[in-house]
Amino acid sequence: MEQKPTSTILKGTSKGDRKCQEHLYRQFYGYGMSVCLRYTATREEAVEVLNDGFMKVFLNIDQYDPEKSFTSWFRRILINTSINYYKKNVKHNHRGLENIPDPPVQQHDALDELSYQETVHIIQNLPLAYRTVFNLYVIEGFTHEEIAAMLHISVGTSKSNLSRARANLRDILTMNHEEGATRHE
Amino acid sequence: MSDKELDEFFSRKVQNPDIPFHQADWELMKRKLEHQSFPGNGNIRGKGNSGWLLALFSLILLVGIILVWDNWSRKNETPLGDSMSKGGEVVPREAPAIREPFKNQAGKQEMEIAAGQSKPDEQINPNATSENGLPAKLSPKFNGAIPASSLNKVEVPNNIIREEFPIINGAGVSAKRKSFNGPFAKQLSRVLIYSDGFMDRPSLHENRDAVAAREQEEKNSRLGFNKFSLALSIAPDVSALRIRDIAGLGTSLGLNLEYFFQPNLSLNAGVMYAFKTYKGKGVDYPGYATGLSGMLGDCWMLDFPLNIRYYPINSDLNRWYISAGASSYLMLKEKYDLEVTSSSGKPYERRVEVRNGKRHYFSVVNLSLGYERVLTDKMAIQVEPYLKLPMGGIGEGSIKLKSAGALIGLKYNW
Repeated sequence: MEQKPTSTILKGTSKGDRKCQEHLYRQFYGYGMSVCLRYTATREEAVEVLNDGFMKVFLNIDQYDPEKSFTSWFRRILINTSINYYKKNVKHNHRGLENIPDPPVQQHDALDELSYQETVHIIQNLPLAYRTVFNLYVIEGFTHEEIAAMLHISVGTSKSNLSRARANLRDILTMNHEEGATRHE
Repeated sequence: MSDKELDEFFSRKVQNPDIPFHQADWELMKRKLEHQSFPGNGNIRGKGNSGWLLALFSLILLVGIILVWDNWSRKNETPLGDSMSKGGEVVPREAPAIREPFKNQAGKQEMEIAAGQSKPDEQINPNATSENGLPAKLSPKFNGAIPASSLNKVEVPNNIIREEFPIINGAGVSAKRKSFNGPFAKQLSRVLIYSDGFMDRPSLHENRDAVAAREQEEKNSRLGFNKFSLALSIAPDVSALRIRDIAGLGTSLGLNLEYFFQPNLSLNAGVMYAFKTYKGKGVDYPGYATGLSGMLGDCWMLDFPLNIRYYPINSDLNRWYISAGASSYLMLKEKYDLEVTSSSGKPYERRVEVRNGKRHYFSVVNLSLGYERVLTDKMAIQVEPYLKLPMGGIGEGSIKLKSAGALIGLKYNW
């Protein structure tokens, strides 16, 4: 069952009550971090995007319709904040595949046992543009047309970035599998 | 691994993770919040609220300066004003008393005779004095040189009006007080004598109607019925597509020129730089194609109002008026945050920005009710709650944007 903040928490947050804000922050921290970690390269950047997102929530809590899903509304805010993060950083991020650090070595080759942290780490190691398109298309479910509109890129660029993201991820998973198999032997 | 398998693998892996809470992250958040204020807790926030306070404070300060300056000017003002007192001996006024009309058309001469005990048609010799200290002769020639507002009137026995004039050196000759002695002199101790030797008492030319007209003109001037006025105005403003959907406070700032056809009827034209903020549902923004579920809008524009203003209630210090007309909007910048539901059913936001967009000539109806309070002879302050109703769609999205606010203006009349 989806979590929803109580009306007391919502009213207190609207008035700027610190305790209510903290309660809301703690309640949806995990959910928010799970979104932000996928869009950023490091945990520190993820916290920055998360906190920016929460600031928007606190300032615009009156616009939230209690009849609707809070996580959907919150998710939309975080995605927009992540897209702003992308726009701010895309010009300075030219890291190619050759600069991607080695993924953590697995003890065995069962991809299914790859943990959440490890999976996120793999996604984080993608270049910014590939990572953002991959998240929006694969995880969030947007179409290439919608992604193009959001990121101010062409549909072709969106498709190209997704294709390269997938190729990179396959390479990383393959490298990871081979290293794990070698060490196991 | 195929694309589909890869996608499913990562989608499955990142769903519903258990991420432990980090207190340090909340501490970082708290530091961000300390620099931010929120509504409802006594702090000021929102679009332009702090700017509003500054504008209101500036207006109050300006009004205060004007009132202090006007008060100081009055205290230091000579009875005739600077232009009239140059080179002359100015005698302070006494309090005006009751005025009675002249008995007949020859009242002028009667006054002369009663005051100076001189005969009409006699020329004046500014250097000669009679026994009572008055000039020896009085002339019937008067040319009304002295402004009526400089005169005081003192009631004396026998129903005769005495008038006291400040002594000025209008044309080179001044009459000194010591030239007039005796009991009559005290009552008629101030006269205007020109170098041609004629004594001038302009009020003698005026009958009751003329005096009343002059007083009305002074009153009108005091009330601001000069032909023109210029007002500097600011206005807090709320705009909405529906009454319940108010997103924040907007601002307007500008100038208004007013031309009076009559004391209580005028034509107003102005220019206002306006910022408006609003929100709405998808159906409120028909300019967008499909999938729109909501929107937040900010727009900056030039508003050119043209109104007729009628003042049904006038008093010495206060006026009430009603105003109606139309505005033209020239859109300078529009910014829309649109909530769109994608074809896959997932919502996302899209921003649309438009610069130098549409122009809507006389497309908005203005209705208002106003109150004006006189501050000084030339200045007044006015408060005018207003309503602006569009006759058609406004802006890129062709939205029916309605606005309401209260215009606060500082008005200068000439």
